[in-house]
Amino acid sequence: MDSATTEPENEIMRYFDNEMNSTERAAFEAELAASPALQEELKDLETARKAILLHGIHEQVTAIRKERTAAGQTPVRKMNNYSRIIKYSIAAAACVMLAYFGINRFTGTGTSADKLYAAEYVRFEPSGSRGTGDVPGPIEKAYLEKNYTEVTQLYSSSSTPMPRDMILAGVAYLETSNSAAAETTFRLLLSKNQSTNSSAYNDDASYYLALAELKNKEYSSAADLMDKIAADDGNVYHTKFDKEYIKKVRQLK
Amino acid sequence: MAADRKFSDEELLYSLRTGKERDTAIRFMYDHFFGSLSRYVINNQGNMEDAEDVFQDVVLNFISLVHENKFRGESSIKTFLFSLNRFGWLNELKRKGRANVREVNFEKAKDMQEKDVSNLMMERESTNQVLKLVETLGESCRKILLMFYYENLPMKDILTQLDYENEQVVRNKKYKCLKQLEKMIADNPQIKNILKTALNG
Repeated sequence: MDSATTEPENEIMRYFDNEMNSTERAAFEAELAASPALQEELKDLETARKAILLHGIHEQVTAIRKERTAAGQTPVRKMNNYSRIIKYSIAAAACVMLAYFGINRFTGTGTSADKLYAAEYVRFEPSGSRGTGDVPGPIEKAYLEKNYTEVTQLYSSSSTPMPRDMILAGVAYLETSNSAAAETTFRLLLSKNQSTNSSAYNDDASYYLALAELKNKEYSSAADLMDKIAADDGNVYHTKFDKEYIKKVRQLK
Repeated sequence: MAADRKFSDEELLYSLRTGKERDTAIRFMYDHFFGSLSRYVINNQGNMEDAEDVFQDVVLNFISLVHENKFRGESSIKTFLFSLNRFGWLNELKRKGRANVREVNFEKAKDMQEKDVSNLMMERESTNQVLKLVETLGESCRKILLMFYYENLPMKDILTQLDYENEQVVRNKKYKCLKQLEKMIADNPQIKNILKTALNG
């Protein structure tokens, strides 16, 4: 018996701390069901326990973060070349298998490419993160004004387009239903990035390239790329193409 | 120190829920999830420090959700953490006034496949308010409550680590400390509301 607490307090604490046997628990729960005051008290105890829990987790996580920082372990797990090869081989094999089984298992369901395209297409919105002093260039200015024809004309006449201009031009081509030119533009951007070791707008380019391929009836290739995007948690568009969606793309003929 | 032990989703949940090997489990989370989650932050106007801060929030919220049985396992832990990370970072961007049209539109356009978990994330400021309140509880009270409710230690183990006469004294002390914390929370409606919302999220 707890000499420092009264009987009802002792009971609720024993219940709260899960120290009752099943008979005691059933009896207490019957009492609890009939007592709003007891229910309120239990909620308040839960709230206090939650605060303690948060404090405990915070202390532990902070300590581990500090320990890793002190040890010079930036918590990014670096992959060695071997792991990288294994990872991408498995991913590639998974894509091939998915493509194989997808093609063999399913037949068309009548979902049109246009519907699938419309379901996932979101107009690219240029980020304003380049700095407060930046003034949009002519291509971006035209894009912001939704003058897509002008965007593509300016892009075509530009000898050294920047990645940002390329992504805007690609989307402008999509907006003007020139999906072939859009595909070329996105591929060019990805290719340029690869050769210059850059990743500028890579996620955007891959996402819109997959949609351009869908528009261009390159369903298998589009689905493979969508699989790749969905499998990459680091890709900002990775939630856009779910398994069901990709399956439908593969079903298209 | 890197976590040598590997955890399946089930093992990770068990460890985080029960406290067994929790240190190792958290290290495992850093080793296996931080890389991909940080990329999202860094690719979206953040830096490494932002990524680390958000990841810490994610881990804290995730463990809390696991404790409260709010993680249903409808998706893999990695996918769930990614959602927490994404919403956590978007909240940070909004708070800092750096959210741009693209993020907002992306949020609006997000499909139904990604469950909105923003209601499950306690904002950093709210968490800090709760932490500050618990700090004012006093060290002896904090210790005893943490040992019992966070580390899940039995009374006899707590007795061996703290300077009390017997288990009953520890039990009484724990009760008084919990009641004290309960009163402190009751006296602070804002924090009470934060915790209630977090419990019901």
